[in-house]
Amino acid sequence: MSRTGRRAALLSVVVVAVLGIVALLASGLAHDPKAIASPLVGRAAPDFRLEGIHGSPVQLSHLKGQVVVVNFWASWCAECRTEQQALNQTWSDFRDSGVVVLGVNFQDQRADAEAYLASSAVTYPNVEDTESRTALAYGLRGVPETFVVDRDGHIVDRVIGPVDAGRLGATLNTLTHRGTP
Amino acid sequence: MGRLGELGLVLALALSAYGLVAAAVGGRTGRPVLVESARRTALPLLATLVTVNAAMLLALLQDDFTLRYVAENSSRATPTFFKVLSLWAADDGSLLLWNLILAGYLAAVALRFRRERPTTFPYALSVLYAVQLFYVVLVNGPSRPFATVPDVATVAGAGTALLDGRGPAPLLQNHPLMAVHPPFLYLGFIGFTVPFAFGIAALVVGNGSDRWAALTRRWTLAVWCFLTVGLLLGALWSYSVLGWGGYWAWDPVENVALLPWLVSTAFLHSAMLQERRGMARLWNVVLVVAAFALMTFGTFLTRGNVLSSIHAFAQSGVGPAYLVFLALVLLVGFGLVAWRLPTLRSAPAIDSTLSREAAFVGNNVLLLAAAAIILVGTVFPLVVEATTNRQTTVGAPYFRSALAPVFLLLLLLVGTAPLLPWRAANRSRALRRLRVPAAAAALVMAGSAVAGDDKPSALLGFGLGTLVVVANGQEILTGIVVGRRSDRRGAVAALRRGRRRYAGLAAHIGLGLLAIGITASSSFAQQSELTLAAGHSASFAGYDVRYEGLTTAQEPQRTVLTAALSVRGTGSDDASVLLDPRLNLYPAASEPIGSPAILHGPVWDLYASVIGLQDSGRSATFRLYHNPGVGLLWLGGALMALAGAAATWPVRRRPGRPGPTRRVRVRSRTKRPDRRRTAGPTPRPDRQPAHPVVRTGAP
Amino acid sequence: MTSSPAPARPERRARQGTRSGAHPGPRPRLLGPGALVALAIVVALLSLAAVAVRGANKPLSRAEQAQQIAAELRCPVCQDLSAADSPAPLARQMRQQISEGLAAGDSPAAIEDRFVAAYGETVLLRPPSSGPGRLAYAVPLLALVGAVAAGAATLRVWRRRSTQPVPERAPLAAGDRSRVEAALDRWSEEE
Repeated sequence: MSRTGRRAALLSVVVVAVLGIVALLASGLAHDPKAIASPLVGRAAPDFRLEGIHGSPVQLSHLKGQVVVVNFWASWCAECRTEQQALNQTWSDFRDSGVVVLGVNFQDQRADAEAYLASSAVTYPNVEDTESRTALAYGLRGVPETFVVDRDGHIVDRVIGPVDAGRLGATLNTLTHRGTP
Repeated sequence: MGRLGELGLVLALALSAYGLVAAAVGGRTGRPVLVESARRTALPLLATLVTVNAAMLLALLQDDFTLRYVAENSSRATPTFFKVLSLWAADDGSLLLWNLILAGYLAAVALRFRRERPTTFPYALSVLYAVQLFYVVLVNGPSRPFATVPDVATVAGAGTALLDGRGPAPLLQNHPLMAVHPPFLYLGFIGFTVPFAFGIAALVVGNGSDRWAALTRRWTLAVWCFLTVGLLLGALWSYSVLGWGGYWAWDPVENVALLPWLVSTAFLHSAMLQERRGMARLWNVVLVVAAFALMTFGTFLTRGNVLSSIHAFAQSGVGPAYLVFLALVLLVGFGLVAWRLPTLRSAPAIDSTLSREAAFVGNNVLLLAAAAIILVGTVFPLVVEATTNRQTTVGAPYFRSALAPVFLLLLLLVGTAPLLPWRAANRSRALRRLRVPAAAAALVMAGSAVAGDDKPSALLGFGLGTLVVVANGQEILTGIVVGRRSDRRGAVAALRRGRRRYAGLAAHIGLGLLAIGITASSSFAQQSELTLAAGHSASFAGYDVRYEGLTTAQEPQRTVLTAALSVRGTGSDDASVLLDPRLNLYPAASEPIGSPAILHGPVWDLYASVIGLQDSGRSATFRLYHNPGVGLLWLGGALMALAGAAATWPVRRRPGRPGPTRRVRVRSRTKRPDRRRTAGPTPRPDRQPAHPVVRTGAP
Repeated sequence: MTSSPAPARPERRARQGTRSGAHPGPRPRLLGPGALVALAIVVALLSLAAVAVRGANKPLSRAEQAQQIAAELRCPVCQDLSAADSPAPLARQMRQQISEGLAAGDSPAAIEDRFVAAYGETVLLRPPSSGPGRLAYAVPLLALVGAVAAGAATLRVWRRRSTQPVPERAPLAAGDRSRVEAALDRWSEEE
């Protein structure tokens, strides 16, 4: 090959390689490294029986037939406070349509959890995951994290971080066949 | 303050753009006046960036919470020391420091070449300004360090400030090492711009001169030292702050910081091929371009929020800008290499595969293999997700087992290659020099096998580490002994004369110690988790550990809970030592940040962190570690850095006497003994001096 | 340290005019420098073999086994640390579950699978050996083989270029030669 031909070939190799690298890295820029998909979505929700913070123990499988919003939270978690309003709202909107909001307290002190619940006017049931077994079974990566379980006990949605009342409401509307209001 | 800073950044933009154009045009059209004016621009540029950084520092110290950066990264309660550190505690501020350091390098280059003007100089200067321009653009647009707090600015005018700031991220204000780890790392990273600039300039000029390698070798060495220190301090920070008893997690950002280190280590060796034998010219340019590109890639990964890592800067909007810059660096760098490949190719020839030259080839391929494994492993999750939408993790266990063979082979090479002379080794002489190191390594291996070691990789690590230490130590000792006898001025003079070589050997010894330390700590650490009630004790690793109870101290910026442990040996007369692992509660942090307590020892460390408190501290849960070899690791690392510094340090030549560099050259040109062999048999061919030092008699 | 006159070393004669270190002719001394190095290598390899056998046959305690499993799992609430290393409470509970699983007689694979079922494959610190993850295991092998091949090829090419004797670019001046000889004399006295 002539010198210019070799040059052109080499240069095009460099250009193609650089474009490939840039495309790959650009795809990396586009996604959020913290958004990790949960393998549990679409599967049966892992069952648990946990002591209630105020009331009686709750077993998930006993709630079959109802839609359950399982919300992992802790009193030390700042983002949990930001979503509290949305959860309270969801509970009051949907409690008569066969939806249970269930708070699961994660790595907390009992007294702190009780103080938190009192201060944020929570009326839905809350349970205590003392040894984080439920958290590990649900693949928890932090709090808040929320799972939506349908009437058959399958997980249909998972939200990392604070829930959005609108999105949660839409999911619950579909699940309870209420349709859009 | 904010105004002054923003003004300074605009001025810096203009100055770097001017420098870039003036140097390039001056070089192209052969007008030295323009080049000189570009060279002189470096000082005002440095002064401007010093002012900009001072402005931010002052804003931090004065609690000027009108600035968003100050409000988000400092608070009234933050101690002054950590207020200063806040300058580089987050993305925007650290880019200011980054720019300052780059301008410092630019000014150093300008100063160094105030009289001497290699043909590459105008283009190198131009490349330096181009890189500076990119980073100045970055702080003028995509990142705005001097942005004001939005609502304050619009609602109440710029005069009103927030009452208090959020304070630095708790993890970053928990240990004074944050004062030195980032600056050293930045000095190491940014410094690669200088060899890169001269490499690119050599490609542009294209006359195949070997000068640039000699010109940049010392720069690269200095940069390598900074990076070595930066990496070590990072490991030390991880060990002293994170409370997990380890120092290197194979976190993506640690990985990408190691990449330029590996590649520049390869360059430091192969540059000698070019300097002494005129070999590997193009290859060396490839290495400096690669080191700089990898550094840029690393900043992209770190600051572009691409991989999740403890170092990831939150919500950084500069990712796309870095990507464009990286693409430019790769295109220009490797495009020029491809362009010059047909013309710049040298035709190196070696006399023997048993020679220093061949060893350097081995060094380069192994270092690059290690770099390739780390690079591919780090981006592997990205590739898999982009192509198959599946998510994977490539973490520490993978890197450990993938890299172990490469690093062990490298140790083998470092333990044997320094025994080989340039050109061609006499096999029996080489074997004779290998006797002591090989015997020492075999003894150590047999000894630890008898002592009950059950991990083959640990056995190899110890053996090869010993080989490295003894082989390189033997070379230094031989030099001292022979130097003292053959040189009237004694061993010190001999050592000084062969400074570069002895520094290299000392760095190898450091590496050997480092390897032994890493092997010991990763294979034989003991750990235990204990929950103790106050006043109770338990035994761990041959110690009696007693929980003395919890004390609470209120500091302005945090609450410190100290769970004191007293540790005593099992002997009856052993004195007890107090360990004070702590939990720090920062208002901004949801969870407490731990501070482990470490009893540093020469052979092992005792390390304790408190991970939980029950019943308001009446009982506490601890993690205890008995870590052998960690001290050796720091020692070895420090030796590497010091040796690098010793080789970098400029030596003043005394008038009237030929300087050390001259003498080395004379020696290598006329007295290389293997030449004599081809010139014809000499009376005592096997009496070729094993060591270069002896070849120079007293003048 | 004046050593007694050393017996004529075999390589001194053998080396005359030869390029590399071939050792033709009889060797008067049985233990040359090579023999000691060879002995060292044999000792090293024997120790290695002994340790490898011992390591392979060593029964792991339950705690060690749990530690091994935990070291392969990522602590989900922290960055880049394994469940074995992390001081986070959730990692502690993972370790506890692993120990309980082992105590209940579960295999390490079954324990890992339970975490994968909840967290997905990202919980494994090594990419899975099925699917695209397999490629990750080819990388170190390819890198090492590639490096050795590239190095060997380079050396072959470089070596071939110098089949002719290297030309003497700077012949020794008479003064230099005598100085070299003087230095060599000192060297041999010292050795």
